[in-house]
Amino acid sequence: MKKTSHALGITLILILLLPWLLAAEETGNSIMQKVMDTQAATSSAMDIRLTLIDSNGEARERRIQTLSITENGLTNTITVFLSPASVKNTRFLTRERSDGNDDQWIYLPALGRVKRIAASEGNGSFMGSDFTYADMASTTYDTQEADHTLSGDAVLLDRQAYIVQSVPRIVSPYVKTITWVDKESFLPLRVEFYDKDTADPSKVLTTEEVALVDGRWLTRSITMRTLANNHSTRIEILQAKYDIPMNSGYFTTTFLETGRTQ
Amino acid sequence: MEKTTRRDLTIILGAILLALLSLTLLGNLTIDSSTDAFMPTSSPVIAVNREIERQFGSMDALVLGVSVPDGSILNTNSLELIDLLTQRIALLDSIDTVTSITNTDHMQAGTHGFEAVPLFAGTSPLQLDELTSRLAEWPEIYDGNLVSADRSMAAIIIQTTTGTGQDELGSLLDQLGELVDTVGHDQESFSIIGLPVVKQQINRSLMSDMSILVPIVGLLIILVLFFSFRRVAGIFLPLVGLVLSAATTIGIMAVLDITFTMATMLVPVLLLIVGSAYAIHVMSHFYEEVALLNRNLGPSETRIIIGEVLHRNRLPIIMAGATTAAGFIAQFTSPLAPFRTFGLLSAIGVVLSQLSSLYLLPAMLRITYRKGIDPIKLHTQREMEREFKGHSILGLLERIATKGGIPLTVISLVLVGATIVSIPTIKTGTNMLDFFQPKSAVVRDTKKFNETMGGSGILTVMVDGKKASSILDPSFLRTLDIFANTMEATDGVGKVQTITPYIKRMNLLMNQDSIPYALPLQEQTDFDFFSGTFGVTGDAKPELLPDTADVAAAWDAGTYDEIPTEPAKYGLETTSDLQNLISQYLLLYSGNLGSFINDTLEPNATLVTIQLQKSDTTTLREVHSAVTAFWDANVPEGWDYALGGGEAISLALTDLITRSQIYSLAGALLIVWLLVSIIFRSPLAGLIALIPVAFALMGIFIFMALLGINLDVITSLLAALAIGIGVDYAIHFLSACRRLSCSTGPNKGLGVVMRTTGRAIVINAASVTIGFSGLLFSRFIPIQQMGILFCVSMVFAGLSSLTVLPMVLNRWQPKFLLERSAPALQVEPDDLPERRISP
Repeated sequence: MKKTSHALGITLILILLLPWLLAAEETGNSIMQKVMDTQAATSSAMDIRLTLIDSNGEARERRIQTLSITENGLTNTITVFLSPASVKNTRFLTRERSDGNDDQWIYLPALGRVKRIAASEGNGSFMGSDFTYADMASTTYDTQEADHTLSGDAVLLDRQAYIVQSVPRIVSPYVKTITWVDKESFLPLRVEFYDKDTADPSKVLTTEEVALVDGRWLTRSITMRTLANNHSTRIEILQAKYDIPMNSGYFTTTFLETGRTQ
Repeated sequence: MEKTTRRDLTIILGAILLALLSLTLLGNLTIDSSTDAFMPTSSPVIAVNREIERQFGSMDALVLGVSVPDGSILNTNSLELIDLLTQRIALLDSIDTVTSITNTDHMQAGTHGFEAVPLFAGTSPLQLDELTSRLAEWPEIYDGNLVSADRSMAAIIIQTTTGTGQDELGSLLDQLGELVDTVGHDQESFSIIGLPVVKQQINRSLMSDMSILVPIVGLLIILVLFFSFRRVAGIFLPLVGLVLSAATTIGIMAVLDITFTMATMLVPVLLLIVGSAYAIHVMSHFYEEVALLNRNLGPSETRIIIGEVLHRNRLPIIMAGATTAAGFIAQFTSPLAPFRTFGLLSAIGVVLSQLSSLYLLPAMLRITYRKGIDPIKLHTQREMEREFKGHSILGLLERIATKGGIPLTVISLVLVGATIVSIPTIKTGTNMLDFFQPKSAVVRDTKKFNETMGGSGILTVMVDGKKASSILDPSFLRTLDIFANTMEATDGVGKVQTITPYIKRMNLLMNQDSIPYALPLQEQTDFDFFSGTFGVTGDAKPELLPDTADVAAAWDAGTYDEIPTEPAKYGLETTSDLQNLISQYLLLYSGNLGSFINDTLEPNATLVTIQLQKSDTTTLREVHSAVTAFWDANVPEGWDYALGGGEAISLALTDLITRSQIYSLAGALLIVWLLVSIIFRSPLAGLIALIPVAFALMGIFIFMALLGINLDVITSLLAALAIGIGVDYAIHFLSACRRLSCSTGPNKGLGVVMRTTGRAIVINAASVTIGFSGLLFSRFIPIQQMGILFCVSMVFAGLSSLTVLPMVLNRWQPKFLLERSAPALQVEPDDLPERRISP
């Protein structure tokens, strides 16, 4: 009896400690892996509005739609510009290659032809926004791309969050990022980007709205602010579909040029 | 302890405490040496620059020039060095971007499109050849900007983050200097160029200059005091008063949070010089009084003498101070805030010096001579003074004044003529680089950079089309291209940077396989992926593009090296289609053109940067008016344009300084005339008193023209000051004449006045001139020039008040000199009978 009660006691302690033990198991790497997993999809379609806000509060809007499909671990993405009017129907295709050198084509409607682009646009601004092309792809790093360290936790937007510091191993415009990761959804709630080893970040990304749609956590609205010039860009996901059947014909130069998949 | 002694000790201790307290506040002083500090924040050019900075980013770029003495900078060692520096600088604080030939992308034709490749890929012979040919491919962008046309110099362009303060800039420049000093290099030499460098140099030198000037001026004043009194007390007591009032003025600056600028830095030095005159006045009268008595004076007698000296000198000192302060206060009319601050501070300082001479100095005298004084010990000085009274120079001046009417009139007219001829030839303009000696590093580096590269002076033009995409209108872009070409042909302009080379380049690269006028119009399909089923119902058979390389060889690619202006050539229908084409080109630059356009895709404003190799006012005015003339004629209706940049500020400042000079001159003349008219109750007296002032001004203007001295932020302070100080001589002289002429008749009275007040004026002018000559030791050229001009003006004022002024009085014998009700403004020793000291 004594033995049983002893065993019960241990079980009870274990049960009580379980959440803590589970939580304690999380490491910087495991958290960031979950962040990537949460956002991973075999295919996705997004309708996005970018609002560029200058230091005077003047706003300019851009609207794009993107389709992406992942096959054999390689992602192809097509982006179509809907506004402003001057670049409407411009289409941009990226095909990821296993050697790391992505193929990129652009279709300029006023030129009427597809052009191949060989340029690493990673650090360039996406449509004049506070996001670089690399930021648009992902604001967090893969576990292979950076060393992630769990540095604590905090409450943000009334939600419990991990604080993970990431030091990239790959070539990056940032020396480090600090990400606040929602403990429930594993979505980034805030990311601070440091382009130098200083106390202040150069850019701060904040999540304004998250939603649970069809059992999947989605970020609805985020804002990236560049601290030096007080310029910011808000991204709103107007529509989003994940893991849907998608015609691979979209991810071709033919589609780029003709706007047709056949 | 007696009541008086207690009061004296309280005054002295109080003054010392006040000065010490002021000195503890020294650390609170803010320094802003830049000429920006002079510009009113409401000035249009400041508003334009702020708007430009908001829309196009920080403009105060720093440039690190790397050059080799012989041959080309495009060698392995130099390129590796530039690469290393580019990377290291990017890691420093307050850096936004660093651009050099080693981190710039080059755009070139690629397979079926274009590719952005690193301009500098490495240092193998092949890669160096590639670099050379790439640089030659796009000279509009590279030459004079990143590398000199003769390839002897390369530039690392350092853009700081918007809102970087002066302290951060200072520390950045220090780090940059350290980096350049420690980095291993062979034959390369470095030069750091840009307005921030000049500003920092001035800032640093400002304090060290002060720490040199104050002791030098102090030493010169000690010399004057020594020759005047030859006694320790005669040197020490006035000096203590001067130092305490100058220190208190600095304390007031710190408490009122007044920024230390090029103008206000002169206040303490000016106060030492101007204030010394009052102290000398009191001290010399005290010693004269004592010397007149041939016996030992007890403590109470000494105190009575001090009291009498004060009684007689209070009014002249107050009046002389009032007119000097009036000269300073006239700066209130200036549109430039630092000049107004300078006026206020100097006026406060003058009042402090007066208070010091009237209260602190007597208190110190009473304490020093609390046991009485022995006049015998003063004999040396007395004899010297007696000797001086009969000095031949004063006799000569008296003869000139009484008998040399015609030559004096002729000389005066010649001077008036010379002034009229001189004034239009006086150059205006405050080029901060001109503050430094020609052989200084900052001047040498900038000169070299200007000769080799595009130029360090920056004038910008912001053209605003008001509507989105208006800048991309092809006909406007062509006008912009013509503007750049026109300006580059203008003297003094090194390079003009606009958006157009980027558009032309992209047009060329994107049309490598185009055939002019042969492109079919494309049918455009509007997309909304979310309206359908993501294509899953269709059967996609993707195909890759046919190879069009053969087509490309059929025509001359150069035909597309242009701003697209003909829709048909591009298979388009309207100009608006061309505008869209250009917008789509801009998309490919990924926001890297932010310094030229205010929006990545649909800009409504563009910035043109004109690099100047010469920044003198004449060149600036010519370039400025060429820009204005061009855009007045070519700016589309409803659009507007504005000029900005460092050189636009410089030009606006020049105009404000000229205005300031005219206002403060008129203001000072008016105030001084009014004051003197009131004192003598005669407007004519006011006019006559302006005679030495007029000569001082003529001296200033003639010498400015002769020595090629610019009317700038420093020298423009001079005229109003010379008025304030110069009129003192007239007041002293007129007071003495008025007092003496009644009893002895003008002619005889004049002789007495010349020997007494004349002597005082000579000593006063000499001491002030010697004091101001200390400014020649400044490391700033305008301050040196101010020293020269001040000496000239004091000599002119002094001489004219002893020649022309008495001549005029002698010839016209104005009524105001004969009034019996004249106040006893000044009492000279000769006119004092042997006095008895009553207890």
